[in-house]
Amino acid sequence: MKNTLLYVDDEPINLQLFEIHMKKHFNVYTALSGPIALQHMTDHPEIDVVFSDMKMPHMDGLEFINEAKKIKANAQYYILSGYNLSPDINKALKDKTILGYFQKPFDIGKILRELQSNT
Amino acid sequence: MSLVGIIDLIGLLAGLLALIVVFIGRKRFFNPGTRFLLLILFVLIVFFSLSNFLEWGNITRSWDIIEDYLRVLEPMFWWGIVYTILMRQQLDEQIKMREALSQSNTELEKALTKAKRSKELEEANKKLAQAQTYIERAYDEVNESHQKQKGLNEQLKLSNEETLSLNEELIATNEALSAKKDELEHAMHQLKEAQAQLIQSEKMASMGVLTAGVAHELNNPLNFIKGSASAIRMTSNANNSKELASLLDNIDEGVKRAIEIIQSLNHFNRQNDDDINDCDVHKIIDNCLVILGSSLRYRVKVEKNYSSSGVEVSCNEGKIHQLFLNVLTNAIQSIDKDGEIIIKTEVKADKIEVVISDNGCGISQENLPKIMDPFFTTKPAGEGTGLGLSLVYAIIKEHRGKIKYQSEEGVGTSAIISLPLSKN
Repeated sequence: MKNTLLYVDDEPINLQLFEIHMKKHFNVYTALSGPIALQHMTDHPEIDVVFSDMKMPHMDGLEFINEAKKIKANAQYYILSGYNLSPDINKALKDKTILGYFQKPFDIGKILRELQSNT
Repeated sequence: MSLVGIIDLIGLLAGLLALIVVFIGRKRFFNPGTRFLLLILFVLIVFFSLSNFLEWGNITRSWDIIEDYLRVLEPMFWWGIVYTILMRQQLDEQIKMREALSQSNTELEKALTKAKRSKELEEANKKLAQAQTYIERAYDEVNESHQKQKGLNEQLKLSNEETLSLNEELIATNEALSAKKDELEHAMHQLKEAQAQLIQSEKMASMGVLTAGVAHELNNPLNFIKGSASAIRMTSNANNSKELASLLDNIDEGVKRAIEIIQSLNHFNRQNDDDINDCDVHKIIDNCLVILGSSLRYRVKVEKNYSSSGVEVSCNEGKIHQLFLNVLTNAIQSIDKDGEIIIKTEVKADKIEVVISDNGCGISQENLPKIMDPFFTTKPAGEGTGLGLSLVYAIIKEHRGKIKYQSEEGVGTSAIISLPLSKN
């Protein structure tokens, strides 16, 4: 039985490529913004891994994750961003709001290894 | 002896007596002229009386005429004698009176003299008094002027003291001013440095914002490329086509290099003062060389002679990147055409020493002490701000390190940088 994964990014190409790489290992849901993703969270309580971009319209990655945690606190949350490690992300890592931070362009092998170590 | 003879003898004796009386007894009674005439008369009387008495007829005969005249005068003489004797009392009184008169005259004269002298004295006294008045007045004036002088002296003394104190104040003010001037100069220098740092920081901050934005915007297309290549590899039969595999490898290599550049740029963003981490100096230098790649390629050969031991420094990563970027940029710019840069690192006790040497144009001995000054540049206007090394110096100071430049014109330059190693 595969785990269910949600990926949020405002770039459709990123969503497509991530899905292609992950569908072998996860049931993948994608969303183009935080509000859509939150809807997915409500609609699909089986989602247990969440990846989010940092810079997005409406709400940024950390704002979305904070909201998502209210729906499902025990899911694994990760940030996948084109930006460098920022103080906000560092803080989120320290207080376990997120389990990890990955930089774009993503290294799929690295992501899978990390996910494996956290399950 | 005849009667005449007796009378003559009596006359002789009486004459002698009269002579004695006149010349001895009452000599003060007659004046000298009378006394002379009487003397001649007595001598003649005595002579003729003696000649008659001794009967010197031969001698006196020729004098008979004279004798006759004298005989007429003789009674007068005798009467004179008698009168004198008779008047003796009166004469004595007269003499006494005369003497008294004379005495009182003398006294009067004396008194007069005295009076005269007293008058003179009085006058002298008056003059003296007047003189004294003058003197007193003069003394008063002198006293007054002395008092005035004293007052003036006091005033002079006071004003002198005031002048002295003013002078001291002036000197103190002058010293204070001089100190203020030094302070101002120092402040001015600091301000200039701060301004330089601010300009450079601002520049770097703008550059940071730009690079961060560019990096993010580049990371997404790079993600498309990398992700797509990876997806092709997964979905197609790429593994069976050597050519396709090689092409996909090229895409991966391109993406890898682009990622390196972007990540090197990203290091420069980490310039928050609180952002202190342990950083590997070798990695920082390598990052700088990646960024400077285009200006080095085919022109400047870089030889790295890195220490094998750990070279982690507790630092602000962005600032140390900036430090080495500036030093390396200067080394590259000093090389006109082809050249070489040697980077040597060595751990010395609790410090790492980085020596960056080039064989470029070098710095003149005259300019060498000024290279750290803000705004000092030998580059043409518009090509250099003269802020690079002043910023390097500030970063070195901030990290408690040291920097020293050695250079020889036409031979090359060495920058010797020393930074304390991390204690962890």
